[in-house]
Amino acid sequence: MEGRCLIRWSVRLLGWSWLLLLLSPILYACWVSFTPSELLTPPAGDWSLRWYRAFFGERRWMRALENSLKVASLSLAGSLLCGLPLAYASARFRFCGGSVLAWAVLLPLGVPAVVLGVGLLPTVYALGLWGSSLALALAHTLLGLPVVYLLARTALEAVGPDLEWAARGLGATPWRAVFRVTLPLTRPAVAAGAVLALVLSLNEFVLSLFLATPETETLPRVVWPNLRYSLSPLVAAASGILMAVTALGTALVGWLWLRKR
Amino acid sequence: MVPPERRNPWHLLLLVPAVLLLAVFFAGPMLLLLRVSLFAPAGSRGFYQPGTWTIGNYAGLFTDGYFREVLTFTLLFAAGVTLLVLVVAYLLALFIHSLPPRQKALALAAVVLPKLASMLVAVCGLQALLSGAGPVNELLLALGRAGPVQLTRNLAGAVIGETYLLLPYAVLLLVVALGRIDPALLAAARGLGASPWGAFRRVTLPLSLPGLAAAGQLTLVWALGAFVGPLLLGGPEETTLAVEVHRQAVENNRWPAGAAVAVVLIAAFVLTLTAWAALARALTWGKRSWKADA
Amino acid sequence: MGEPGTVPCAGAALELEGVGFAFGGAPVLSGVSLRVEPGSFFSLLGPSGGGKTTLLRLVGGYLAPSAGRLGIGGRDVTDLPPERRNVGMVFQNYALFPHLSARGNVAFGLEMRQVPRRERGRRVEAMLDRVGLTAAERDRRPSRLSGGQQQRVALARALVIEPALLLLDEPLANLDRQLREQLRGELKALQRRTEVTTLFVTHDREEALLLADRVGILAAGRLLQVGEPRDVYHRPRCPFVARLLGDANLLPIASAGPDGVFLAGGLRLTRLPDPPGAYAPGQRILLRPEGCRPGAAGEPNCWPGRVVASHFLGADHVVALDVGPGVTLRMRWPSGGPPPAAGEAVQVAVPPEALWLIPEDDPEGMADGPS
Repeated sequence: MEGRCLIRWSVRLLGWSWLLLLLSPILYACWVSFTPSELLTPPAGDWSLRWYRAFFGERRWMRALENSLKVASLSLAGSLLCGLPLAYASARFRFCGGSVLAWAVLLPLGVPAVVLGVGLLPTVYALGLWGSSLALALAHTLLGLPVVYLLARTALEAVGPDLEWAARGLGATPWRAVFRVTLPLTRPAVAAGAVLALVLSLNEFVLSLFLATPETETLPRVVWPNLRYSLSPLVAAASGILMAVTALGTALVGWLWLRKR
Repeated sequence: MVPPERRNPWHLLLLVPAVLLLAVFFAGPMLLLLRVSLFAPAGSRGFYQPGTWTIGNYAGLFTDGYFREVLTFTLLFAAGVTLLVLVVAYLLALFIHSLPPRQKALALAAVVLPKLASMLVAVCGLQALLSGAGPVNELLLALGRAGPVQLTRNLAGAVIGETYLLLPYAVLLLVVALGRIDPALLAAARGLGASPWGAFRRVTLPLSLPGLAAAGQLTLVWALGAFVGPLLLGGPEETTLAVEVHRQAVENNRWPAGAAVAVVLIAAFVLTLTAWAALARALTWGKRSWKADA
Repeated sequence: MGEPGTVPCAGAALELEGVGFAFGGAPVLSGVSLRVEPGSFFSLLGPSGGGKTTLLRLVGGYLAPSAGRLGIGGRDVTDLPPERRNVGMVFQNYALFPHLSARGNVAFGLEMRQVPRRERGRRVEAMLDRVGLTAAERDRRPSRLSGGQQQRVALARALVIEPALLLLDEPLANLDRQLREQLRGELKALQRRTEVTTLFVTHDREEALLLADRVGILAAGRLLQVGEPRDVYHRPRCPFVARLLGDANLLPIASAGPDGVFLAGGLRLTRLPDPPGAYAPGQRILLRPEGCRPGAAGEPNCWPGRVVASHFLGADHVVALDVGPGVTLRMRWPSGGPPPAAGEAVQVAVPPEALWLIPEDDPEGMADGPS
């Protein structure tokens, strides 16, 4: 019996340390960002906000932060605008080509972003959208749309059409039935979809690599060359700020959507 | 059976935003990509020479020994990473599945959290962790190794990086797949005299095969398009097709050549997926037949 | 009277003319014509999958018929969407809004009709009083109400809008037996008081017969028979209806002559309700188990039999009798004497008024009767 117990405990220990290992790069990056030294090493004794000050002091980083927020909110709006009606239509109605469309929506998540970027840049150029945040936001919407669509569709199918029908029978117009009954009931799923769309856009950088210009470059786009060519703790600080922005955005969207009316 | 609601053509309007976006920003670019790969390169002005048709970009690739190396490396790299991810993810999923609900939620949060941060944050952390003076090497030195082990800018770095980036999705899929297995089946197997290992081998493993197949497919898809791991944690040797696309199109400014590599990548993608689907069907064939009955 | 463009309320007649519905090429309903009188209670009885719920959804406006017309209160509503029909519906699973309290659910329809807040409150409370929901229960969400309470809320929600028509889709099916019996009494009383025209769908024959002023039998998408419950029970038009409404002995006629009718198994009937000329071979005669009584040898319409099985059912005692080669008759034993045991020989007498010549065969495609 004792041997059994020992095995169980060692499996537990091993499992949890694996999970901790998964978290370690993120935690380590945050820790390193507080270093006072010039190297990517954790603070030895004193913690310093030096690299954060450097971040907020530099025009380029601040503009990138601003761009990130702009692109992410545009793409969030786009994902909801495209994803929710599509999810509603495919959960409630049958139409020809519906199953093909349901697959096609998911494809942008599978196709390597580099491939998509090579195709997108000439397209955006031809459309005259090159150098605009809108083009970048629409490209990010390709990634947010399937997430919003999947979550919303699952929730809509779980809620079913009966409640909407009941509302219609009680005198609600189709729009009022959706807004008074369906939307409140699917709100958690829609909130989750919105958060994920926001996070995807804030963190996306391959498409930004192709589509962003110095005027529209987002935060990950600026981190990228630094990560590739120069390893200063400023990158870690930028990463930390990116994470903080993501967490704040998540909390904000979640709160806006889930708070009681 | 619930028949659909009374018909109303206005409902099709709901599809308009999504279809428009997909047409202009996805279908259009993918078709354009195909067309661009057949244009003559333009040198320094613009992306390509309009109005030209050539297969020179493809011919250039396949006569190039370097490109063949890249192609082979991509396929091997994807296969290796997928295998590694599946093994680690399955073990982790089994562990998470065995936890009581509250701890399970905590463990799942630990799996998902890195995915809510940018890949770049993760890569930044990995670079710091694995660097010559990083904690991993410190640990190895303390354990008695003579000098620091090179863990970045080489194959080890690329594999570790890509595995780390793809692991969470596979773990999530597998935890869901394991959760779908009725615990009564395991109890029944034990009741019929199976040892814990026997019950796992005869019940849990076969029933989780479809989940394993799905996780493998997803991982393979993303591993084939591996870009960040090889580029940021690998060295120049670790060039995958996606890295090559970027190098040709952006760094060398040879857009048609980049497009041609991208088309090859898509082709490899479709072929591998088809092969995987056939393999998965062969592996889970018995299960499919009873699924159809249920 | 009501907003313009909506159907007026209270005591409206429902008329269906040749209503049909096809789904994916397969007909679900065909040629259903029906009139429900103002203020009456109409039960629609049929096996599941027979098209009852589809018919209800057509009347409610949730589906559009592929053929025929629908009228409520003399107005053609075929093309009206649900929100303009003024029809209250209680769904089988009640379809209560899970995010609203019982009160909120009942108030929903009045809100949609822009009833002023004060009047809305008054009417909601009055209706909840009527269905008997306690004050504490009124603030609860549906998930915290019992099945019976949910059913009351659903009913109140449908009735508070003073609908022209009340549709009930198996509203008692999800409740246990005792509660079901209590609630169906309340339902009937409420309908009597409000005089709302009611269309009630069920697969439970007892419920259908007990509640209805008139009952319609719907199977395989066709309305087989409409009439008063007693009439449909005793004088079914086809064997399917006979079996659907209760235990039935269906006796096939082998030959008919001037001095009586021979049934399969060599049984003879000399005294019949109709003139002997009305009977033809191949037709079937309905004999309900409660129509037989113990008889004496030599009586007309009397057959010797042997008890095959004897079933005690509480209020009733039913015996299965072997009365001829291959003919088994089920009969209800009168409560007077002790019932016979298996193997005993008995005489069964069949009074002519207990016999009913079934006029029609089952329509095509209905080979399987209800079990």
